[in-house]
This record gives sequence, C-alpha cells and structure tokens, in this order.
Amino acid sequence: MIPLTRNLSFAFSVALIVATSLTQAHTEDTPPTAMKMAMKPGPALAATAAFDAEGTLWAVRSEAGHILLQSSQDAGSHWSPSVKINAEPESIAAEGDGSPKLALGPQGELYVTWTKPMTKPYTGEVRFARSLDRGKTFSPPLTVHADRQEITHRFDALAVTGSGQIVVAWIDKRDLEQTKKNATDYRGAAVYFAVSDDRGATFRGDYRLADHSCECCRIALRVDGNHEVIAFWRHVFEPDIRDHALARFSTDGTVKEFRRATFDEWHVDGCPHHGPAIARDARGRLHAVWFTGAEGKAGVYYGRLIDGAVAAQRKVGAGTAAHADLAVTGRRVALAWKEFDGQRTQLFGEVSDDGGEHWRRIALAQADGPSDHPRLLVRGNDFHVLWNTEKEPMRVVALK
Amino acid sequence: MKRFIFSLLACGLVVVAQPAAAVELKPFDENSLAALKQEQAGRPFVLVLWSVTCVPCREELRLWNAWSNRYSAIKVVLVSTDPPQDHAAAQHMAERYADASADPRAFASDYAERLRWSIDPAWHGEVPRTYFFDAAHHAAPKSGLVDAAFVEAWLAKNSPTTKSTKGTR
Repeated sequence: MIPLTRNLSFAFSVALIVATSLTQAHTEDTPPTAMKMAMKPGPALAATAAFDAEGTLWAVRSEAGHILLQSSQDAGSHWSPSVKINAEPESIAAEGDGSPKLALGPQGELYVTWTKPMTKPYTGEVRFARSLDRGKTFSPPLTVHADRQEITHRFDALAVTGSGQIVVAWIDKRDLEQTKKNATDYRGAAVYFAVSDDRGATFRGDYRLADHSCECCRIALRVDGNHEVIAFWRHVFEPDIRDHALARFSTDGTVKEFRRATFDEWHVDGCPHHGPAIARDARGRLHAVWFTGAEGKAGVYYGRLIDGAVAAQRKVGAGTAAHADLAVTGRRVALAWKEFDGQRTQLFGEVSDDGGEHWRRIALAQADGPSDHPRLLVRGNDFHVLWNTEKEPMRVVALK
Repeated sequence: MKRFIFSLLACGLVVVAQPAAAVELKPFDENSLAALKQEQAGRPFVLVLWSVTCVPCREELRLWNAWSNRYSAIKVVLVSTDPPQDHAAAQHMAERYADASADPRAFASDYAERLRWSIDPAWHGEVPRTYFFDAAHHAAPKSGLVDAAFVEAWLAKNSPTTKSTKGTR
C-alpha cells in the first residue's frame, strides 16, 4: 500500500484516508459473512464453585457482560435461579484458565473476582465484588489493583486466609511495559497481589510476587495458615523454560520464599493456556498437578513438591489428558481431569486416602460437546467435581 | 468538482477495501485439514495455529505472512484457535498482521478438543503451533515461536525447483 500512495495526488490521498476509515468502520461493526454463518457465540462455559460451611454450594459464571451467581442446597442436583453480581454489564474475559473466581469468608461472605478486558489486545483489569448477606446483594465492582494503566492485569486468583483477609493475585505486565520504554528485554510477565483487611471494602498493594511468569496460564493460590499464602504458576526460567515456580508470601506483602518447583525443561516461546493446581495435606505435603509440553514427555503430571525437586512424579491419564485440578482434605487427595477420545470428552478422577501413596481411578462422566475445565470442590471430607458442559450445564459429580 | 472527488473516493474505496475483504477469516472445521491435504496432494504446505491471547503469535503471524509472500509456491494456512466469541478480535489481529496470501481461518466451533484431534491428537492446544507438511504430507510439528533459520531452510528445501519470487513487496 505504501509504495502505491507515493505516486498519488493529494486529492487521491485524502480519498484514501476517508476510504480507509470507512473500511475500518465496516470491519469493526460487521463480522464477515462466512463467520456469521458458521459461528454462534453462546454463554461462557468457565465456571467456579465452592461449598460454604453449611453445605450450600455457590457458583459463578458469566453471560452477556454479567457475572451470575447461583446456589444449590443438594450439591448441584438443583440450582437456584441466577442473580446478576454486577448490575451494569461490562466486558468479561471468561474462558478456560480465565474463569471468574469465587471464595467464601469465615462468616459466609461471598467474594468474587473476574477479568475485565480493556480496548487494547491482552489488556485487562481485575475486578472484585462482595456480598455480606449471602448473595442477596453485591457491592458495586471495584478494581483490585492500584495500577490503572491499560496493560495486562489478568488471570485473577482468589483466596481467603484463616483470619479472613482476602488475597487476589494476577498476571501483570507493568514491568514488561517499563522495560519496553527503556528498550531492554523482559521475559514473560509478572505476578502481583493485593490484600484486603476489611472484608473487601478496600485493597492494599500492589505487591510484586515475582518477575518472569508465563503470560497466559492461571495461577494456583492456596492459603497456608492465618497470614500466609502459597502460589504456584507457570514461569519463564532462563532462557525460555516454561516450567513452574512456587512462592510463599505473607499478607503483609512480603515474599517469604520463591523457588523453581517443576523440572521438565519445556523450552517454548508460546502460550500453553494450561495452568497448574496445588494443595497442602494435613502432614504438610505439597501435592501438585501441571501440564508440560516438553519434548517426548508432553502431558499432565502429578507430583509432590519438595525443595529443589519433585517426588513421585507420574503422568496422569492418557495422552490427551488436560486441565487437571487437585484438592486435599486431611490426608485425602483428589485429582480430576478431562480427556478427549476422538468422539467425546471423558471426565476422570483419582483419589488417594493416604496422602498420595496409593490411588484409585474413577470414570466420572462424559460430554458430547464443549466443556469447561473440571473444578474440584471440597465439602467436609468429600470431593465433588463441577464440570460445566454445553449440554449439561453446571453438572456436579461426587468423587468417592 | 464534487463528482470528481466522489469518483476519486469510489476509486480509493476499491483500492483499499480489497485487502481488508481478502483477510476474511474462513471457518476451519474438523474436515478442513483432510480437504487441505486433498487440495495440496503431492505438494508441501504449512499449517500455523495461533490465538489472540498469545503474545508470541503476533510475531509468528508477521513472519508467516512474509514467508507466504516470498515462497508463494508453498501454501500457508493461518488458523485462529479462538472460540467464536473471540472471532472479532481474531479478525482484527489477522488484518493487522497478515494478508490473503496466508489464507487466514478460525476454529469453526468451540469444541476445541474435536478440532485439535482432527489436526493432531498429540497436540495439547499450545500456540503458536506449526505443522510442516512435506510433499508426502508427513508432518513435523513445532510448538512455540518458530526458529527463522529452520523455517527458511525448510521452505527452501521443500519449494518446487522453479522457486517463485512473486510477491516480494
């Protein structure tokens, strides 16, 4: 185009500018016919749920610019009608690793986070809303981070400590943007977090947890005592190794520990869109599941994270196993993942009653159509799996 | 004069609108790869999978657009793996980094597992993901931003002997 315009008259250049803006307007407003015919967007499948202390199951997902809340008194067999958490519709990123999040406070408070994409590609804000009356009303959404640049703040993760403090972590590109200005290089993105001491009325931060995270995978966040939290995420170790890092931090904003936690040596400059899960059992063992695409060993893995190594690392499921979740109650450990077999998607679970020494595998469900990642839920000593599928929405199965 | 400007405008519209219309994303469904193989029987081709949420994919698109112009004898197909709700964004990104020479398409349904299986059951969905199909259609998959030296060598090796330099702009 540029060589062409060089030889044109001024009048023609003006016509070109007008025409260009007309063309742009056209492409913004009207999707091409071929796409219109073949594709119809439905409600987002990404859903998250949690049991409260009384056994009510609460769940969030998104549709048409709203985060929707539902509850169930019978572990997901029947669901209440949906309630809109954000009264004003807004742009919401909700798919796969970027699902909305839900956590409960010690007095039954409902805390919800999600990512609101901004105009520029890859950008977003982490949003938060709370209900102090068991979901009857919600506060207007607030933005969790103090940084308001139109850059990446996405892949929110949410946890509530034993003392009731709310911790939100996310993938943040402020350091990358800064190094771009200085024309230097920066690997990946960063992980930041913020803390609320007043049941979500306000947040303080933004605290940097680590430089050089992967840009496009969920962060696994688990409370580790009254004032400490562990985070486990896909990192970018030098020069381009997308294995996982583990950090322990305090709600006062200090990082207590940072270490490499998985050692598969996956060299890749790309986006796995495939985040990990972690939980600590009653004996203090850290159980984890994650995905690696490392040459010759691509797949989902389970292992126990010990200092500088992984114990009992093994492959989970078949070759197509994907998007595993993990939960712990006491010494019991559970995994859930999905596998596509060429015809349909299968949901599998594994349970260990002895802290990960012995496992039994259970086929849980199958779906003929699109499905969300499975999400493991804990109620007392029992495990359940939320699996939101297009044909059977908000399905919950027990994992015994 | 008014009529003169109008005709210039109309002329400009034709010139400008053409590339935009040509970058229209076509649907990629579970039969698309088989159809491509049939269409490219006995010829090498390259299948590049990308997504709007993937930062290295911008560079991947830029590179493949340039290569598809330079090595116009080898078919290159750029496929967005984004679900239908992200196709408007995919369309914008494709328009920004590619032109019609790289045959841009997008996953035709949000049953991504099924579409991925139709390409390669061993692929877990990471992007960019590139399949280098030789003339016998044996595929060499690569995950992550491609290595330019590797691609240049592959394209040179697999290009027909009468190497085309058409489209160097």
